[in-house]
Amino acid sequence: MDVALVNPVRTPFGLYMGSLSSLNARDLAAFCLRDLIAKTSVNPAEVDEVIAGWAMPDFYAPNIARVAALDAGFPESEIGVQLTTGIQALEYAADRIRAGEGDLYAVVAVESSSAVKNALPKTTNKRTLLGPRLLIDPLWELYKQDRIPLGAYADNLAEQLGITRQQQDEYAALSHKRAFKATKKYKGEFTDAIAIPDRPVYDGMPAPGTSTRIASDEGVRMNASAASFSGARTDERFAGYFPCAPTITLENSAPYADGAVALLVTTPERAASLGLTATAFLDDIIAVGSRDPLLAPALALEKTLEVHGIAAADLTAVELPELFACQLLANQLVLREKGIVIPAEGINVNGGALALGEAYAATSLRMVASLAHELNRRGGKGIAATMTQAGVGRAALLRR
Amino acid sequence: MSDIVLVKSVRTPVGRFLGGLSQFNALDLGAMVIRDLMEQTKLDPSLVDGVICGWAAQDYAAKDVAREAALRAGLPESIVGWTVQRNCATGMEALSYAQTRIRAGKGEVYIIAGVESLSNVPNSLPRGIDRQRDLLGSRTFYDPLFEGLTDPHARMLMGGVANYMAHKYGISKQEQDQVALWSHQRAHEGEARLREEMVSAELLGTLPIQKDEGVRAGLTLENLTALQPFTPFAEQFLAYIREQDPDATGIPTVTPANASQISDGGIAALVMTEERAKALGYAPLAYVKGIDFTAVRPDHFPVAPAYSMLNAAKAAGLDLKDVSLWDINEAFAVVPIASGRVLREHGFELDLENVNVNGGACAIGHPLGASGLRILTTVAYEMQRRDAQYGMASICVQGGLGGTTILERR
Repeated sequence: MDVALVNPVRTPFGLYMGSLSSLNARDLAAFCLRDLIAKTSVNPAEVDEVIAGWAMPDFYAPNIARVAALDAGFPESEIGVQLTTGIQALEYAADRIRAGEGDLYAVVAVESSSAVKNALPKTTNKRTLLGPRLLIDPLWELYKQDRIPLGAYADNLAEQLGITRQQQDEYAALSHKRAFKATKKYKGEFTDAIAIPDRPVYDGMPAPGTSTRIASDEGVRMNASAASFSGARTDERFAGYFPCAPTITLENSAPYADGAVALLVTTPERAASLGLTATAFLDDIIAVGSRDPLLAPALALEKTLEVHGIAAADLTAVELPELFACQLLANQLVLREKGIVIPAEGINVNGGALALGEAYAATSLRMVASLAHELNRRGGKGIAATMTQAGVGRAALLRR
Repeated sequence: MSDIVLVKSVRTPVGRFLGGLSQFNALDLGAMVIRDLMEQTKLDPSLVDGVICGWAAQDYAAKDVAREAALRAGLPESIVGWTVQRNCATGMEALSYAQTRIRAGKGEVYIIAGVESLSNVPNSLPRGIDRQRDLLGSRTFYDPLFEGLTDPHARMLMGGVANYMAHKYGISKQEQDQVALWSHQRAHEGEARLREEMVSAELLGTLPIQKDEGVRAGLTLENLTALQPFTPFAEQFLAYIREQDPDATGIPTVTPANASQISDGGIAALVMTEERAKALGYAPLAYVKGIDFTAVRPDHFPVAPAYSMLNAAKAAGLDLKDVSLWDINEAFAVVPIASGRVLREHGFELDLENVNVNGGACAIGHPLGASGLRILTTVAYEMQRRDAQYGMASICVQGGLGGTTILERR
């Protein structure tokens, strides 16, 4: 059964502790859902379910799908389910449609890095009753695999594959350039400007008259160049885990970000009856588990081509993760070694996380959304190969 | 469409808050039950198409508890996981999503699980982002668990909502205390039966507790009657009804003893298509006849199971009279009672004799993400003992949801 992706829309992405930081994930998800409903003119009561992806959940929104849906004006009969990441939420919706359980879903992916609280473990153990206790940063803990920060893996990967600092800086600059061009050009892919309270609101929405509005991605720098990045110091938090010369800097790795992405997932028939046009169609989502946290996307892409009997040359656009410039280049290299050559002008053509920022759950759905819009312009097939938690790559195969 | 069967389900005993299982976090519990399930079923790990794990109060203990627990339990590196969250119906959602995946043609064999370690939910401190407010002065450490037990729309603790429903349906404290008493008595008498759904004796022997920790053997109705209604529940409930009508009066009835306990626990189950079970030589524990989720108003969550049961029966083409065994999660004792009242309005008389026959959450406890799967497991094993044809497990969910699974024995 065909699965249609309709009207992917996203908030501008704010940087960690930046312009969106006085909103939390509940606010962002509700805002994005409301915008999706307004833009598609769908009656929320007709939506079978709202499905959310949220990688760093907190109990201020227990099951954020339902909480944000009610906030956004969905009826009380709306149920809602929360998964870990955006592409999983999309996968869930597609599975439900293919299982014949429904034909209209609203998928929303959200992340507010700024709203992730520090955590103090409860004292459940007599040993911790005496002595200092560690205030943990979950944002940092979730950035690790097997207790090693992902940046250390990236440093090691660069060394092993011979990816130089210069190449990484150049790619990072390219990401900014592309993102800058795309944000100017494709305004329709965004939600309306989002109202931001001047001060954080821990409980409910801000009082009127206390907000400013932002309309564009905060991380994108229009004057980015490899030369301007060459002075950046390598990130010492990643040193000492592997024997390698460090090349990862704050400039060639993605900053944490806040943001939300939403879209409707439906069947072509239902879309037609609602008077909606599909931006793209989802053929499949394939997940691959691997030991390497950074190279899983390449494996997922490879398996998708294999399962569907598609050649790399058939792809008009590809999205790959940019947690680090090195990650993108490494995935590209690994694919090339396997004979899968995707022209560089087909990868992340509208920029990636290096410029827009990494907003975990929202980023994986942003990649799918961005690919859907690009395929809508270019036609053909494309793959968004995302990285989800714990060494899993998930690739979405889209077509026009 | 192929029928889906529950082959086997294993769980840890349910531990009390900060009690016997508190040294294990959610990931530890998940790995423990999945490993035990694999050992007991002797399933070839390469046949597993995926692991779906429910976890409600998620923290940094795992990024994707389904995959991480599976890896730790010895499943291959290629295993893929999904972590799902639907509050108290989370464990049931794991079964529901496995069914969806199978129906969508995405594999035939799934491990489903539900984990919760409420003892290990850390306190949390917002990042200092408001210069005026956060750089000078005391700051509050939040308790996410307390926040999670507060409905974001009704703005009441779950217990406040339970009290509101007791008020609305005229359910006395005595009625609730009676259900709570049955819960403890039945769980105590059913100890050996509950043991059958737990992990292997070898693993159980290594745990700090060997039976559900919350069950109190010698509890009497006098003990329960003597207990006063819990003040925060009472205050929030009274404030809520006075918001609607300033002259409203109500009687607080919900006490800590006629509410469920805050708990730790893990459960894992093996589900597959009927054909695959036959091919692998497994005798199904039960067939999944239907699963339903229904949402009502957030301030009516204790009666949501009733609406969900009605919808589930309707979708499955069953009459509620055909069902002989029930488990309605005792998040509060008021839940099975109030749900019974709603069913009565719809022409069905629910006999509490057949509900929670081996005790419920008042005695056993309520490890949120595991409970949905725990109650349907308890029903499945009891159906086997009684040779019952249809059993129903229904759970109320914070936010106004009800979830129901209908199981069938053939």
